[in-house]
Amino acid sequence: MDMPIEFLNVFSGFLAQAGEVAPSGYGLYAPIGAGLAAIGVGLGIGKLAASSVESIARQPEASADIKGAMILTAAFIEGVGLFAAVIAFMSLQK
Amino acid sequence: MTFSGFNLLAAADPMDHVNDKPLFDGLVQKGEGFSNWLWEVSNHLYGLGITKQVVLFFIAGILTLLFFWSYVRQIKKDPDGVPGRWGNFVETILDVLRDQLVLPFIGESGMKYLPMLATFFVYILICNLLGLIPLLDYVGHGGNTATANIFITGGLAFCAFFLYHALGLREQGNIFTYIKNLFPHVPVFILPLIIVIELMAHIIRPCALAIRLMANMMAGHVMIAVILGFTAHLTMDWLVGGAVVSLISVVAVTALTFLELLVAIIQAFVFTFLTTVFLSMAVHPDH
Repeated sequence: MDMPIEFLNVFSGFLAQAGEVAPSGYGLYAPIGAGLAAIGVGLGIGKLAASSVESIARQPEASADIKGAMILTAAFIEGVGLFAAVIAFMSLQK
Repeated sequence: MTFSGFNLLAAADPMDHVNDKPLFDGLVQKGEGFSNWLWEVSNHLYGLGITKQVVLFFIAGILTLLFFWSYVRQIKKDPDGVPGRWGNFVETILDVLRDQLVLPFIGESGMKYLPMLATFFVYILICNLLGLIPLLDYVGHGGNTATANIFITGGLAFCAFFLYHALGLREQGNIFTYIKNLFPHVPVFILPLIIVIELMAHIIRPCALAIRLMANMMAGHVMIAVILGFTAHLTMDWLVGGAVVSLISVVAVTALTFLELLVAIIQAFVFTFLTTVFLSMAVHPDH
C-alpha cells in the first residue's frame, strides 16, 4: 500500500549493498578507464556504421561485400574496447 | 546424490560465472558414496591443474576430430563423389576459408596451409559454442567457456605464433633472410627505431589475439550474468518489482544471447583471419 516508501526502502537496501562492494582506494579508477575506452569504441563503430550504410546506399550491388567488411572491422574495434574492460576486470579481482 | 547445483543459479558475484573452477565444483559434496567419489576425482584433477574449462577444451578437441572425421573418410574413399549432408556443411566452411582467407592473402601456394587454418577455426568455434549451452554452466558452478580463460587462449595464440614463424622460416629457407625480411626496408638512419617498433609489434600481435578472444567471450557471459542477477537480488526483497524486472531482464538476456552467438562465430573467424594475415606476411613478405 505504501508502495513508494516500500520502493525507497528496497532501493536504499541496494545502495547499501552496493556500498559494501564498491571499490575503494585506487580501485575506482579502473572502471572509469573502461568507461572512457567505451567512448572511443562508440565513436569508432559509429563512424564505421555511418560510412558503410552510406556506401551501401550509394551502390546496393556491393552490399554483400560491404556487410562482410563491416562485421569484421566492427569485431576489431570492439576488441580494442574490450582490452580496456578486461584490464578493469582484472584490477577489480585482486 | 546431493544436488546443490540449483542454489548456485544466483551467484553473488557475476565474475563467478566465468572464472575457473574444479570439475564438479558446486554439484557434488564431500559426503558418502558416488558423490564423494566425484568430489575426490574433481579435486584431484584440480590439484593437477585440470579445471572445468580445461576439460571442456579437451572435449572440444574430440568434437573437432569428430567434425572432420566422417567427411574426410568419405572423401578418401571417393574423391570425385558428391558429399552427403554433413559433407556439404563442412565444405561450406572450407569454401569460405579458402575463398576469403587463403586465396586473397596467400594465393595458390597457400592451399597447403588450409588444414591448419580450418582446424583453428573449427576448434575455436566449437569452444565458443560450448560456452553458450546454458545448463552446462551448472555442472559445477560456472565457468563453462573454455576460451574465456586467458591461459587457454594464450596457448592457442602461442600455437599460431609458433606456426606462422616456423612456416615462414621453412618457406624462406635461411634464417638470416627471414630476419631481414621481418623488418621493412627503410633508410639506415631510422632503422633502429623501426627495429624497436617492429619487434614490439611482433610481440604484441599474439598477445592481442589471445586477449581479444578471451575478452569477447568473458565480457558477453559477465553481462548476461549481471543482467540476470538483477532479478535474483530484487526478487528476494520485493516480489512484484522482481517480477517486472525479471521480465525485462529475460528479454534483454535473450537478445544478448543471440548477440553472443554472433560474436562467438565472428571471433573464431577473426582469429583465423589474423593468423592468415600474419602467415602471409611471414611466407610472402613482399606482398
